[in-house]
Formats: sequence, C-alpha cells, structure tokens
Amino acid sequence: MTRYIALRFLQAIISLLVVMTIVFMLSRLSGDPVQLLADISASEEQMEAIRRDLGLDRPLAVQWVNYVRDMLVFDLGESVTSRQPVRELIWQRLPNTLQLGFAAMAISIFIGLPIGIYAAVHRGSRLDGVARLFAVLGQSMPSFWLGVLLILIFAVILGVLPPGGKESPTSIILPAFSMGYLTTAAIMRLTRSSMLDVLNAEYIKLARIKGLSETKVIWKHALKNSLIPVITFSVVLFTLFLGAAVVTETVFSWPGLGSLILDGVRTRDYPLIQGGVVVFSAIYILANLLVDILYGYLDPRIRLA
Amino acid sequence: MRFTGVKALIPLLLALALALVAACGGAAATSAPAPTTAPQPTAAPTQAPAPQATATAMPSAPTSAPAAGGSTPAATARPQPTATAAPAPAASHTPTGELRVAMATFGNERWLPGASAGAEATAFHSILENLLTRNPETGDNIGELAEFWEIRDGGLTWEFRLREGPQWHNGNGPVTADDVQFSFERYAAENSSNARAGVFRKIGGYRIVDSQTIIVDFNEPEILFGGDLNSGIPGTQYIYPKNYIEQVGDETADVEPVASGPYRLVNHDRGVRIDFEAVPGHWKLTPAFANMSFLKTVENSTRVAQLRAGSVDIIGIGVDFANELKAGGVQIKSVPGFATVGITLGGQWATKETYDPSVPWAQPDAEKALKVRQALALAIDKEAVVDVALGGLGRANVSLPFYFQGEPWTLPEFEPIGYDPDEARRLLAEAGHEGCWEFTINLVPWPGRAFLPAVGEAVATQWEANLGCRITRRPLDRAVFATDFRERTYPGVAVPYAMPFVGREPWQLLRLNSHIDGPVMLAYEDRTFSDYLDELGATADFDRRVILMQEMGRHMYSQLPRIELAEVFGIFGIGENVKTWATAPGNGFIHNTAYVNLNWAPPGQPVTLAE
Repeated sequence: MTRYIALRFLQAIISLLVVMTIVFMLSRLSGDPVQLLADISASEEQMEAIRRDLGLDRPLAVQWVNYVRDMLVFDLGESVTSRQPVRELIWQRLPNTLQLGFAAMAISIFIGLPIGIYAAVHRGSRLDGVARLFAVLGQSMPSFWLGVLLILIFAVILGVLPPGGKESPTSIILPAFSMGYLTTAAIMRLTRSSMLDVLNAEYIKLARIKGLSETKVIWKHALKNSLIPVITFSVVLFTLFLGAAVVTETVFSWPGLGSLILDGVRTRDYPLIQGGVVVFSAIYILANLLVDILYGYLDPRIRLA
Repeated sequence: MRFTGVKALIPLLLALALALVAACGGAAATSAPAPTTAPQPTAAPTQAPAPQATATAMPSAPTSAPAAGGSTPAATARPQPTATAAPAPAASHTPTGELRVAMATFGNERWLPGASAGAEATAFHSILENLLTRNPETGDNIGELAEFWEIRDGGLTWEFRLREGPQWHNGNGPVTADDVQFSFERYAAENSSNARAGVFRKIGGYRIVDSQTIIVDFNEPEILFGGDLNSGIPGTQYIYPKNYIEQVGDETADVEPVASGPYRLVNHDRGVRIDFEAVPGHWKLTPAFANMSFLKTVENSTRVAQLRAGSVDIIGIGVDFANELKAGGVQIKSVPGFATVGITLGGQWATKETYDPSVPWAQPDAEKALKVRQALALAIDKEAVVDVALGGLGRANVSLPFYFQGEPWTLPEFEPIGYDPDEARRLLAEAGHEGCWEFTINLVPWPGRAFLPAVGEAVATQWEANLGCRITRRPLDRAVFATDFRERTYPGVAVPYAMPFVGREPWQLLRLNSHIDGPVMLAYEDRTFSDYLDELGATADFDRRVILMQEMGRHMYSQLPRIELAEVFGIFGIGENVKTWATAPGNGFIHNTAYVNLNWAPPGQPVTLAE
C-alpha cells in the first residue's frame, strides 16, 4: 500500500508540473500579455515597464524556471491591479468557494441519494419515472441559466431569498442549489444503478430468503455496498464544483475564487489568473489522488495491479 | 414487512439535513469579512465654509448649454479675504437607513493617490473630496474644497484658496495647501497610474502662500486644469491627507484610508463590498442615509434582479439593458451626453502598414470620399439605431463627436445627417461607385459600452439593405482586439466605437485619443487636425476657442473618416428609496451618492432633505 501511495503521489506531482507548464505556455502563446495589461493609451515606455515588472523581458527558459521555483514555495506573485499578493487574495476567497462546494455537495447528496435509493427500490414506478426526468433535466440544464431562473423566481417574484452576494446565511441556498443540481442528478442516477446492481446480487437474495426485513436488507446489506462508487464519485464531483464555481459565483455575486479568477480575466490580471488556475488544478489533482488512494484501500485488486 | 421507502429514509434524511445546515451555518459564521477599520473620526467640530465662497466661483461660459468640467477657464475668479471659520450649520435632518449601491467593478480598490486608475472614483467619491466639483444643474465648475481659484498667465499659473471648514476624518486637522501639493505630486509621480498623470507632470513648481493657499506653476499652459480637479470624468484627482499618509506609511494608508468627505469608511471587503457611515456635522452636507454600502455585482442581470428584489437602491448599468429595465418596471435615471457613438472607418492610418488610400471613403479625391461618407451616413436610420441598440436612451443629434446641437461651436452646417437611402445611392453613384463593396465590421463590446456590437449589427444590416454592401461581421473580445486597435492594424475596415465624455468641449477628448503625436489614435490621424488641438490647448480665451472649434469642425466635417450616429445617455436603475439624486451632465458613472434624497445646493450652502 505504501508503494502504491508513493507512486500515486509522484504521479500527482508530475501532473501538477505539467499543468503549471501548460498554464505558463498558454499564457504566453495567447499573445503578449503586456498588450492586454496596458491601457489602450499606454506609451511604449509604460509597456516596457510592465514587461520588466513581470519579468517578461527575460529569456523564456529563465522565466519558466523562476515561475516553477516561485510556485513551489507558493509565491504566486502580486496582482497587477490591486498590488496585493495573489496568494493572499486566493486565501481570502478560497474558503467561500469551499463553503459553496460543500453546500452544493450536501444538497446533491441530500436530494440525490434518497431519490436514487427510492427509485431503485421502486423501479418502474411512477416516482422512478419522475426521478429519471429530474435527472435528465439536471444534467441538461446549464447552471448559469438555472441560476438566473432561480433568482427570478425566488428573489424577484417570491422575494424569499436574496438574489446575490453573501449577506446572510440564506445567501448560499440559491447558488448552492444552482451548482448542486447537476451533480444531484448524477448522484441520483449513480445511486439508482448501483443500488439496482446490488439488489440483484445473490447475497441480497439470500438475505431475503433468510427472512430478513426489507428495511434491514436495504440499510444493512444493500446500501453499504452500493454507496462505494457513490462516495468515490462524490470526491470527483467536488472538483467539478470548482470549475462550475466560476460561472455560479459570477451569476450570484458570490465572493469566491471562481469570481476572483473571472475578475482577473476581465482586468487582464495575468498573475492572478495564473495563480488561480494553478490552485484549482492542484485541488483537482489532490482530490484525484485522494480517490486513487481510497480506491486502493477499498479494493486491493487496484493497488496490486 | 414490506419496505416503505420514506419511513426507512428518515434517518438518512436527518443526517443529510444536518450536513446541509452545517455547511450553511459555516458560511454564515465566516461571512463577516475581516473589517478594515478606518481610524475613528474626529470629534472636533467641523467648520462651515465662508458664505461668500460660491459668489467667487468662476462665471459660466457664455452659453446656456450645460457646461462640463474645466470648460470655462477663460473667466477668472478674484481671490477674496479668507473666510472666518464658523461652526457647521445645524443639519435639518438626522441621517437614517442605508443606501445600497450595486456596481460591476470597484476598479483596483486602492486608496492611495496615484494608485487608482479611474474606476475607483465611483466608490471613493463618498469619502474623498476634490478641489472643485460640478454644478449638476449647469455642469459648470464650482468650488468644493477650494473656496475660490484663479487662472493666470494664459494657463501657466493656477491659484487655489481652500475653505477653512473641511477636516480630515481622523482628527488630523484641516485640509491644507500642503495636502494639495502632496496629492498633486503623487499624481505626477513616475509610478502613478492616474489617468491624468501627464497633466500633473507638466507642473513646474508649487508656492505655498499660507496654510490655505497654493499657487501651481505649469511649464506650459494648461487652460483646463480645473476639469482635472472637479470630480468629473476623468477628474478623479482627490485630495489626500499628507500627514496621515506619511505617518502611517503607504501600506497602512492603502487599506485604512482617511479622507474628508461626508461619509467615512467602516469596512472594505476587497472585491465584495465597501461600507460607509455618515460623518456627523460634516461641513458640506448631512447625508439622508446614515449608512451607505457599495456591493460589487459583476453580472448585469444579477444587478437588475437585486434592484427588482429591493436588495439594492441604485445600480450602474449600460443602455444595452434599458429594455430589460423597462420591461421589469424599473425606474431609469438617465444622464445625457455620456458618449457619442459612431463608426470609425479604417484603412487610412497614413503612418501604418495597413494604410490603404484606395478605400472608397478616403480616396485621393476628397470630394468623392466625402460623398461616399455622406452616402454611408444617409443609408443609416439613426433613430432606429437609437431605439434598437440603445433602448431609446440616446439622441440622433450629432454629425461630429460632441458637437451637440445648440453648442456655440456647432455651426448650422454640422446638423445631423438624416436618413435617405435614395439620396445615399445617388451620392454613391456620383462618387463613381455602381454599388457598394465588400468589407468587414469589427464588433467589440468595449468596457462600459456593451451596446457597440448591437450598434454595429444595426448599421451593417442597413448598409446591406439600403446600399447592397456585403459585410462580414467580426465579433471580438476587447482584450483580443486591443492590440490591433492600439496599433491600428486591425483587419476589416469599420468598427463601432463610442467616445466617452471627458469635458464639455469636443477637443478635450480628441486631444486624448486622436492627436498625431499621442500614444493612441482612435479617430483621425491628421497633422492639421492635431495643430488645431494644440492651438486649442494653448488658448485661454473661451471666445477664441469657440472660433477655433468651429474651424476644426469644418475640417473634421470634410475629412473625418468616421460616421457619427448618436449621443448616448448614461443610465442608472434606481429603486423606490431614491427620490432625488443630483448628477452632473455627461457623467454616466455613479457619483454624488451623498446627495441622494437631498436638495442639491452648492458646497457651502445649506443642503436640505428632499420631501
């Protein structure tokens, strides 16, 4: 197991380095960042000063080495617009994104899991049909559109929830639901199919033949095993929230990392975009590492392979 | 026993409900940002401005049209004896409630002089003050911190005398001439990102006459300096406290600003919100609202929803959202003269590789080129463009940038070109063109002017329908287009662009964006034209400038490779809590928020609560 974890850890570090290099290359291949950073009326001297400030006047290889070195000690540079350390800006916003992510995940599990179980147990029923429709809608509806719709209904028409910002505890409900609906549908579908597989297994039939109550069969024997793929999938889902956060946080004016990165794009804050993308990627890679380790722990065949 | 799903799921539902509550509760617990607490305001009594202050303000320009900042420098105000400090007049009301303003950006959110590039003015203006301000009724410059001022030697010397009332919030004494010099020097510094740094760098020296009087000596005439100090656009050059910033250092002052305005900062959650509270007994006015918050809401639709839901009272928004606001029953406050929108015709930058003397609108035969441009202008139903692309919040009343009808420099011959497709086709034929040609129009949503692609689309459609042009639309992001725009190398030949208001006189903007020796060229590359701009910049006499602007207008009318379409209004969405709000002409950015629900009066005169 130790060797397996070490190997996965090494792979994660290599992945991170590759991502950092891609971010580095893309930001330079997409044109001269100085042209984007400088005001439309900036003179050549001002643009040269920006180039010097960002170290863009040095050879590319030197820039890359400096960039990786700084990233490894988590020195993400200074925001071009606010002059604040990017690391500090990210630390301020990351907790809000994580809160939103956890709330969205809680909603996904809270709604998706019971419906998935119910749909599996009552396969073919009218409610199962409704659940599948719910899942299809959830997976086909863009979250930004759903967000605007939720604002219109619950904030503007009904006036029961705030339309945006982070003003009160209830502010999180609409963005979390908007972000969580997609994954709610995914969890529901996964739970349903996994549960159906398990309910058809021989050991469940045996349990029923033995005369165990249906509640005991479902809760003690079926659910436990059917949840394994759901739990591991949930970790991956959480990383999806990070991507979805850019849109959702913007629509709901939620002060998280996603909206910070989008701000960086709007203001052409090159170090901020770079830092934000690397942090997102690092979280994604770490989450996948966690899933790999979890899989290896739960299923010895994987680590032996 | 048959399994009953709902019953069996209760424990799981409860557990998950707890998890959700924990997640939401966590959010609540950390939602309060670490406050950036400003130093406590002084308990020292503030002093009223001298009553004669407004009587010494510069007289209006010889026109009844609204004047913009800095447009009346020809007149001089005579310095008066220093006013005796007096207690602030008792307020007619007690501030109550909260005013909430939602806007798309706070800019770079820096509170140091020279560190902010312009967008910060909107939120900053509530706590900071300027030497001058603009009369919302006439647009003329009037004194704010300055009691009176004088321009001498054809713009080489400016003298300002400060009021004795204004105090810094932290009890660090009155606003003085030293503070003015300190702020100006910061604006001129090499690392200054202030939009008007170039003007401040022309200052050759300062003379502090006494604690309230400063004389500014320029190296070359600067006749419209007042326009850079009037809280307008781009007059965001506020006065900062020298002693405070030097005592605490830049790092602290950048996050804990001290100012002199009618509100003081109580919390700044970067990128999220800024909270202010009213300063009791302020020299200028007592706000109607005890608290004021600026919320950053990037998404336009969300801002509209916030207003409709009553979460905020004022939103900044563009005319591209006018129809949505109207449909939602939102009250719109419009500010005329925010910008003029037109189509810049490319291919004619003589100093660039992309120069193409054969483009129909700039061929060597100037008469034929003029006919082509007139034909293109006649083929556009500008009223329809205003209705469709600007939500009706504009006026098709210009043929040259900022040459509005009724201004003294707008000659009758500059009257707006109407809509006449038949005449357009006839002129095109006269210019030697059997039909229209094939070209590209670049559709770029410029910051604050997201309506531009819609304008371009409307124009392209009409050129196709009325003249038979074959037009390729090229939608582009501003960031992608910026390089081409700056270098004047953009493929395609036409681009809709709205020139924003910076001052009442048209040359004030053109000097910034179209001077042949300037860093950027957005409208017209021409030596004669630039010579006019230079001469205007050195002419202190208003009447003489009017004549020069008329002459320049004739030159532009015959040569300018641009088709001016309409005046664009700046708009704000306002909620039920906003009864009155005095805004300055042409200023389409949120400003004067301290005056919401107050009857406007010049600084120094009693400001009362609106009924």
